Amino acid sequence: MNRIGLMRLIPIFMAAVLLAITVLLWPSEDGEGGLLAWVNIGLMLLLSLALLQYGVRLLRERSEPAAGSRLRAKLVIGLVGMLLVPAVVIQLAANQMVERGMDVWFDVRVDTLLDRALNLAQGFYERVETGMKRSMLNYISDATLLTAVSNNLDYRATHARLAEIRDMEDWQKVELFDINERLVAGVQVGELSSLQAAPLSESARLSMRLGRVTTELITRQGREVVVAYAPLIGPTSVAGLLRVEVNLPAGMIQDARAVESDYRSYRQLEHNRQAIAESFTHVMLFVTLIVLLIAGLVGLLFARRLTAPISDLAQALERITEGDLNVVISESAKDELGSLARSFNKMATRLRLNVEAIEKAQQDLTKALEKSKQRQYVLESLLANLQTGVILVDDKSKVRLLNQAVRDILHLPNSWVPSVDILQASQGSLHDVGLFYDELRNQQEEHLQREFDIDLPNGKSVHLLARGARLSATGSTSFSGYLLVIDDISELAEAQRNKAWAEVARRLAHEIKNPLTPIKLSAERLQRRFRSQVDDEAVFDVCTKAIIGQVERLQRLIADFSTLARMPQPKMRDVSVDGLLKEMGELFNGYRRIAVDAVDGGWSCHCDPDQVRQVLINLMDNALAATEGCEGKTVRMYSRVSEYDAEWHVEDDGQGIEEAAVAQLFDAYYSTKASGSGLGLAIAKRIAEDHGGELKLVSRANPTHFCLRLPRQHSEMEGAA
Amino acid sequence: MHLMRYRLQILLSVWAVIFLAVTPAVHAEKTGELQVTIDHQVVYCEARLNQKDDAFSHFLKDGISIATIWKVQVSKARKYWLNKTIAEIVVVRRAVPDLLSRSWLLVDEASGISRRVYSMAEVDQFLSGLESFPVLDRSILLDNTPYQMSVSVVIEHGEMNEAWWGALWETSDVALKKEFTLP
Repeated sequence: MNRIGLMRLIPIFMAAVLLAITVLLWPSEDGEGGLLAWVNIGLMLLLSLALLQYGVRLLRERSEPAAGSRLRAKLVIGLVGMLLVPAVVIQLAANQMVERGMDVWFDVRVDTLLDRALNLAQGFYERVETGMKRSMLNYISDATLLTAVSNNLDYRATHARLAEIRDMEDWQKVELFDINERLVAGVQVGELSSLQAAPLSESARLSMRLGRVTTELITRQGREVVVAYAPLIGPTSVAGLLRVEVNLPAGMIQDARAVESDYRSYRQLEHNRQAIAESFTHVMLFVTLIVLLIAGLVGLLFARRLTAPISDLAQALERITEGDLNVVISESAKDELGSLARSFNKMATRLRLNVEAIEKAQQDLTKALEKSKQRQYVLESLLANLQTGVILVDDKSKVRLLNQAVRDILHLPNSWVPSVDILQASQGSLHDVGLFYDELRNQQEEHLQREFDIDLPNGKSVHLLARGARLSATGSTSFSGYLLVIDDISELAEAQRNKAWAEVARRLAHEIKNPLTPIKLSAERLQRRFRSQVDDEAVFDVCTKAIIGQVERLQRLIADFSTLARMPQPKMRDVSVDGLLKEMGELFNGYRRIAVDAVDGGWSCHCDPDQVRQVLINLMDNALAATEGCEGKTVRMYSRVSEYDAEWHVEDDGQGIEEAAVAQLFDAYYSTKASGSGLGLAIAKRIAEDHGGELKLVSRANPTHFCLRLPRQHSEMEGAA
Repeated sequence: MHLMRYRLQILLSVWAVIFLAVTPAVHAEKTGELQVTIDHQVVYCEARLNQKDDAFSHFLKDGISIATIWKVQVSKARKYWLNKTIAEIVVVRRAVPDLLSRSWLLVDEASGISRRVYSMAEVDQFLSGLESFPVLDRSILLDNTPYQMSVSVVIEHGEMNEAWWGALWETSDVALKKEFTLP
């Protein structure tokens, strides 16, 4: 058990000791302690219970006690303990002194002396009584007295005899009674006190009854008188009673009574010797207990006054620990505790000011961080939503930042994360980006702009516009590196190309279309007017028909050119998806190898039906051309509708499309057919794109599969476009 | 503050229970005899202490006076409540020794009658018994009603404590009880 555990047992140990003392001092059955003994027992029980309660509370106490309570308890216990030791010593010493004093007081010599003194006093009484009795015996048969009590009273003779006896024996009073207790005669020294004689006492009657001389002691008017009774014995029986009185000498009696009184007092003290010792012990114990109680209370008050500032200090520290810095404790004390309180208040104030400064700095930093985060968020949002790819490279060729557009445009691998080396990572199809960066880094100019095509891993190629700038460290930022901006301008380039082709087509149509009509009309006129005049009509017909046919082909070519050049705006309306499919079925019902799977699901699509119909006819024409001569349902047409899109699918089991032709399939003026203008699929694709959809080649062979996908609800922006 | 008061109350309560529980144990009672005699008018008390032979003489021969204080109480016995006191009489008998004349002055404090005797037997008889002591008039009591006569005796040695606080801690040395009904 550690020291703290032992300290906790001190109150219980003290309570046990006090209880043991209580049991030892418990008043016995015939104890003389009286009320005081029980008061002491009560006080000790009270103290024991208080200590026991405090000890049990200490043992059961698991959490940290209230600040200052332990110190207060230690002070009180210490003060009481400090008083307890001398008090117990004084108590024991006083008891020893009382015991010794008792031994001295009740010494055998004193006892013997008092016994002898009492014997002397008793001897005086005995001598008086014995003398009286002896003298009385001389008169129990006195003839004069017997005659007087035998109804032969001679007053004079009797009185003279009594006076003679009184004078001879030196008695103060002599009285004569007959057998009927009647006073016959009496004499006394001095004046007659009363005419009526006092009635006979029990001793007198006893004397007459037994025939013995008896004496008794009476007190009269503060004086002690010995009274003796002698029966007057006649010839046959007791005839009367002689009663005499002797006044004991006052001085002698006073001394004898003093001796008796002292003896009585001494014996009483001796009888009460144990009680006196016990009373003294209990008085001392009572005083000790009262002193201890008062000391405990004073110690408690003193300890409270002493520990109150410490308790306040501890509580204030606890509040500061919990974060409450608005703590001020009393500085009223003028001693070291007051100085400590003042220092603590100063410390708390400084701590509060420091914390407030830190909190303010933290708030400023938080605001700055918030602003920085907002700027970063805006920048990241901007970069994330930007269609232009942005790459930030530091001066060590490490990519520090790149946005999603870069990944989308360049189809970057996952290894392309910030911190990769752009020169090492730009391998394969991205080799051109690395070259562009290398050129930018090595040139003298601050800016660089290049256009180049790169081949993507999916087989497509994109046309990129790359712009770069050198970033130098400035006063506000220490970053230096390169900013690369990449734009996918494939569509823009294609649009420019289409626009150029449209311009060419428009000029060609304008230049060629005008002479074609007179050429055709002239050829037809030649055929009508000069057919009969020529020698060989057959040759003539072939030539004129060839002229007319080629002119017509040129006119169709010109018409396609015109269509491509001036593609009309689509006239949007809700059209049944399956309705268009059925129209195709009816239009091409002459071909048995066509299978149209039209299911009336009530689906609609917001589109220009004429343009969509043109696309589908184009796809069907191509499929029919590819399957010419084939048997069975080699051309299939069906539709699919989702929540957002409507799709028309055309499949054929023809020879398929060569792989090399796939990339240029939708380019204008590219055709695999000898008589084709190469504008059909280009126009179809443009119609699809004008509707916000797409026309794609799903599979180039087995089957050759095209899909026209249009959004069911055309967006306003796209519609406006 | 409230907690401290609560703890103090508990402490004092425990102390009071312990103290009051052990205090009655000190009343070791001596024996005696009590008889109730009733004639046609008066209810008498016949009480006697069974003392050792030298119980009184041990003190008296040393000149220490002895007094026996008899407290005779007649009460109506009640089953579920405290008995109702009907009469209460206190008799004080004192023997004062005279060492010089080897006699004893017997004093009945209630009546004021005193007599001097020269025999210890008379002193013993005077101090240790009440013989045919009239307690109350029979007419006060009801027929067929249980009553209880209780006699408590306090034996005092030496001078009697006449102060008012003397009765505060007075414990009886002998307590006798007898239940009776009117014949």
